[in-house]
Amino acid sequence: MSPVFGHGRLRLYLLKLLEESPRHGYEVIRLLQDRFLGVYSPSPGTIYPRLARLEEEGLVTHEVTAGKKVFSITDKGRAELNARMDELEDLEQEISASVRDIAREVKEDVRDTVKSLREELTRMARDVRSGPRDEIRRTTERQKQEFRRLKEEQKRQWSEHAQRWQTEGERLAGEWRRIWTEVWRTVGGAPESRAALDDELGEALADFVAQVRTEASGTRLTREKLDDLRRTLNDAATRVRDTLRS
Amino acid sequence: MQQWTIEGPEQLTFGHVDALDVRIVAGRLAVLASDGPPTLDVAEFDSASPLLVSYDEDSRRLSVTFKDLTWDGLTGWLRRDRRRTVATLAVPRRATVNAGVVSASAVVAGFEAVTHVKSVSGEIVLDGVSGEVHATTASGDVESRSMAGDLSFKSISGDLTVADGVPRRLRGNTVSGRITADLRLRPTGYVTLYTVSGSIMVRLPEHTEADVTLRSTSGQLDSGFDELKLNGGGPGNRSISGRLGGGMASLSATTVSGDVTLLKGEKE
Repeated sequence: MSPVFGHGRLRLYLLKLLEESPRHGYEVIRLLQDRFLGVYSPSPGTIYPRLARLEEEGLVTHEVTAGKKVFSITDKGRAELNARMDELEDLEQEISASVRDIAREVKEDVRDTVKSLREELTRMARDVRSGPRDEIRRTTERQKQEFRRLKEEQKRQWSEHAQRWQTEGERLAGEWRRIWTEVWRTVGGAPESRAALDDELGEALADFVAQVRTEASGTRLTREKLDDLRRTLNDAATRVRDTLRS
Repeated sequence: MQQWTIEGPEQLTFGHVDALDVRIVAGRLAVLASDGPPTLDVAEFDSASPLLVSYDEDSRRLSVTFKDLTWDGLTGWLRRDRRRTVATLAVPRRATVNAGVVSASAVVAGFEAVTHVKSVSGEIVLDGVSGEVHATTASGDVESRSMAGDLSFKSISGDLTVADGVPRRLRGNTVSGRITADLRLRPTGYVTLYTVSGSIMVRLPEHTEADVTLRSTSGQLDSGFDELKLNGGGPGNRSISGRLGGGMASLSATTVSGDVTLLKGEKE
């Protein structure tokens, strides 16, 4: 059981759930699962005896509707709940802390799954590809010829498709701008009145980044240069901020 | 309409929520589906300007954002040390979710309606999200586990990885990002993947029933399914295509210079 439910706290939480509304036993179980996002799953063997004990103590009562027991809280139960209000608050805090843990677990879990999947598929892909390559390796001469042929083919391909690449490049520049503007708009959330201006600023930034990228791809980037650039960007940021605020 | 201003760690609980809109800059964001009461938990907060939370009980909309994110956010964006928020939201699984982050990572789990996640450089993790999902990033990666329903992914350089996906529609569109997907296709499954220079790797179970087309201008094409044939065509017009089983579902993967690999998995 989750450490959250030590020291009679499950009892307290059951009272809280029944105080919200009368519920079936299975509904109580489902709610506990959901509030803990499936991490804590109590079994009927845990919950039904607890409810029975609460009923013996006169804190809850049940009536049978459509063949199922529906539990509801009594005044005595409500009194205990009120008396332990502070404790309940602590409990809710701990639940949200455990929800935070769940979020972190989900993230780590997915990352692990994704990482091992990528490794596995990469390995499989290497096996699929190795077949024809082994043949090529049989004679150096054949390999050389193959290379020559490939090179020529590539050359031809390149010239034939230079045109296509160029349009592709233009399309890409457009794509970059479009995605950037879309993201910028969402993150920014400017009011209707200046949304157009905001988009324009977003586009100006996209163009700026695209330009810097193009220039950077043609040079050798070093750590020193990067630090230098970051200082330049910080200066620029300060000036941009001053302009925006003036 | 209720409003709160958040300047430090805090926890809030709300009434019914049908729609969530959340935008943060840096740090970590988690949005989880839960049947409990909708909650916001801010565990860490390091920002000069406060986070604004507003909840409208009539329209059941919850929004969490920086008021001045657009203009002043620009400086926070370039200076990495500001506006760090670690926030966890729990809202009902049927709620529509709109999440935006700049450099923060975003975890979104369990939603069944319409989910939009956008990021500039932060990574997006999707777990068990079904319904309709749109993930857009500039350079952040998108990692998805156990997706069902529709997923559309767009990125500039961010990678997409789909583990254990059973998509109805899966659209992936990236410039230089890599796409890696382990999929099972229902008869109505429809998958289209497009990259310019990023590689595409897809694994399908052995007994898949689908029409498949893999195309690349200059990238290498490989398939682990012998039923598929390489169509020579002219240079720059190569493809591997064919029908697996009786067909019905559809997979198409296209690149300009990226490699395309289709792998055969175990029997389903």
